[in-house]
Amino acid sequence: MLKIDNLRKKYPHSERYSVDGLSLDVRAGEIFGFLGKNGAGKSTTIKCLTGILPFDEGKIEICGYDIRKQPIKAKMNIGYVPDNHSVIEKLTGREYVNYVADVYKVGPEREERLNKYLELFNLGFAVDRQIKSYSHGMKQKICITAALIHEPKLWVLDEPMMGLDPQSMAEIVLHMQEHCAKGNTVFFSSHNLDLVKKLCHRVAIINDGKLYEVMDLAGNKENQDRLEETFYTATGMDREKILSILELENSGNYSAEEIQDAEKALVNNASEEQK
Amino acid sequence: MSNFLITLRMEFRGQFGLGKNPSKKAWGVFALNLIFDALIYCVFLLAMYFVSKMILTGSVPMQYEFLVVATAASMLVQLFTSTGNLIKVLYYDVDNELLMRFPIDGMELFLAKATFVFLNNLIISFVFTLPFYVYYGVFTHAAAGHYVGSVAAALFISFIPFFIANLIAVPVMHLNNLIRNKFGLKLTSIILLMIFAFSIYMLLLRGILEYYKTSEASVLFSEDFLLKIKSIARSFVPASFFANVFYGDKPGLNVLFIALFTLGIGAVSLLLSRKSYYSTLLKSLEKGREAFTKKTKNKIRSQFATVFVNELKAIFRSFNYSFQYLAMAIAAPLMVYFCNNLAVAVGDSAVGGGIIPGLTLMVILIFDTIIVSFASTTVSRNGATFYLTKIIPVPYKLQMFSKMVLYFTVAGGSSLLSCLVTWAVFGGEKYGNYVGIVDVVSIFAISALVIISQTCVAIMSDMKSPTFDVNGEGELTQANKNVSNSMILGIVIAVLYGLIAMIFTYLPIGIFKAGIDAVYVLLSCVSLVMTAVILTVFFLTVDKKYDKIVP
Repeated sequence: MLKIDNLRKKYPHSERYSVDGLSLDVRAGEIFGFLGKNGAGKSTTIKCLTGILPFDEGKIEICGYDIRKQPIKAKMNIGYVPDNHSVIEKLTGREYVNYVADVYKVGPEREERLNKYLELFNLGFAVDRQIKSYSHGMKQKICITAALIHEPKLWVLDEPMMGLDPQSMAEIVLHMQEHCAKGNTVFFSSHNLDLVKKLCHRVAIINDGKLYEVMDLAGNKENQDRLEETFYTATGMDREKILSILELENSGNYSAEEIQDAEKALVNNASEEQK
Repeated sequence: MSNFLITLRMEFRGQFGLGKNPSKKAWGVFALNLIFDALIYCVFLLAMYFVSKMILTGSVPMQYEFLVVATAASMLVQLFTSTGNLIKVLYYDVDNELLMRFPIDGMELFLAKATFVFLNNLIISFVFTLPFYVYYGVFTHAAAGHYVGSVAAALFISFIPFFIANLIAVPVMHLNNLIRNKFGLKLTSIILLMIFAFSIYMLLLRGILEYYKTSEASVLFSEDFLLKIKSIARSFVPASFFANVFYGDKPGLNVLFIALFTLGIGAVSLLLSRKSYYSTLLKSLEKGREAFTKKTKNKIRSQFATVFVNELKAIFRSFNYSFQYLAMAIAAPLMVYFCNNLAVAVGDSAVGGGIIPGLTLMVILIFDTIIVSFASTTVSRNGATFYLTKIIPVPYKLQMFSKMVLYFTVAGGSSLLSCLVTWAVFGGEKYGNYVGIVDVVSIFAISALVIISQTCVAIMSDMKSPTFDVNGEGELTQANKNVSNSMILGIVIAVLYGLIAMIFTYLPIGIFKAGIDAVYVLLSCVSLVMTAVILTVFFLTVDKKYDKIVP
């Protein structure tokens, strides 16, 4: 479904490669998590595979189509939700979704699909309103609706749960699973290790643009248990700190939110130390 | 550092800053821009030197009028720029919402931002008013005190328009909030206003020129006439107060008038701003979120049509864009009419109405340039949603073609209308059939070809260096340098084409013995080759260039 082969990407005026020799093979019907600390190269990889950024070396294939040689066919199979939820704010929600449906050549079936998502995300009341009045979460929802209007084979999401309410998060998780059940693929980046552990069939961890490890999670208890440890090791955190986080998690004295905050702080400290 | 100074510094950094640790290239570009600006300013100073010399040392004494006009013109320029700047900085700035979250007093915020606008005014005053006062001193052999007084005048002249602008900005913002989403109404009003102002200007100009043509020089410069002009100049309050001081007409009393006028209008302005700034700002932020509701059907369109419609909506639903683009296109035919009307009034007896076709071509091309320069922000205008143009399965060629068709429809339609208006008015018996069907078809064909070339060049320049610098409402905060580059190029072409057409109509030499028809053939051929080459380069390179853009 998605094949990345030795991808290398360096930004103009930068001396280091943001993505350096990354290779991945994502299969049909799986939910694939893409992990890494801030600046690890997740968003750059996603932007390369969606055609937003040109890359220096390597090859990316979507459903067998080379994004460089057959960009239109490759893009036809992708639905993309960006991390900043940018949408054309001067349009109404319906106009925006119709614009996206038009460019993906979706026929009259768009009506039924749109209504389904409006109901799913409880967005029907605002669909004929200009998007500039939408809240952060509403923009994210209309973005997801537009990304799915053509029923893409590969659904790519860059940190999709940011700023969403728990109910919407749950709806998206269910929808990801439903999308996969139809033989499609979901590829998403996230910082939420718990979510990834519960949802993904496989995950890839990258650090400094290089692939650190690909882990099978579906039905593999051992890998699920060592996900955090592997992630923190990949980010360059020392053993003592990793153990203190794991201890926090296992103690049961702290909420998931508190643990996540502690994790973030420690990962950021580790990043600073590395610099 | 106080909140006032921090906010003021932030405004300056935002406007003029090179960012943190600017690269050598950034410094280079900055220095080049500075040199270019300095050169332009030198040309301006030189031109003003000759104009001032002509007025101040001519046989007819007009020193007093010179001071009044220079002061009034400077005040008007400052009034327009400071009203625009105040609205932009005080109410539309992206950081307003951010600043309001900080513990900064509304009055402090207002004073910091208003000071920034005032300092802008001061710069305009020193750069444009001071040279006139200095030239006045030079040509009237004034004492040293005049020059010291000139500096003081430049300083005080900037206060009055600034205070008036403060008074204007608040009701303008309220009115704007009231009709925020009434795009059609706003566009119509601005077009009518623009046409009205331009018509008045052209009618006045025509009146003056007619007067020159019909009046004897002795009548024109008779004592009575000069006294009349002086009495008109005296009524230009408060500019005449400044002129009185430097002309030596009750200087003490006029200084007092200036002080009272400035203090009075300043007090009213400060009082109003103090009372209304914070609430107007809050209202603007609140209204900024206000959106319209429009029930539409799920209509299916082709890829070409949907890109076309989307671009049109993005322009129409933005006041800035529709003013820059649609208003100019709609108003252009009338402007072309007025310019030609003036040319007939002036040139009929001198060079004859034969210049009308050439003039029409030049004026149409100048307006086309203004309209088409909008295409120089085709990529940049996408702002944060630029990624959409990259991920959609629509070839870049088709996306660009669709936008080009829209730009051509607007600019070409405006040109066609201008040609038809010229034909209808100046093709009749009244003006001696100056414009025939051949002229209309030829002028339209040439301008259409130039529009296509200019659009391609404009888009290519934006693809090379897009800015994506958009404000909270997703609109470009200011026109990027691509706009000015494409304007310069377009005006050079317009003037060149216009001059060729006008001159060779009267110089039937060589290939131009056939008169204007030969000029049409030449310009059509040149434009055709130019358009073919530019179009080929554009479509051969668009994929590669677009792919390289990194948002």
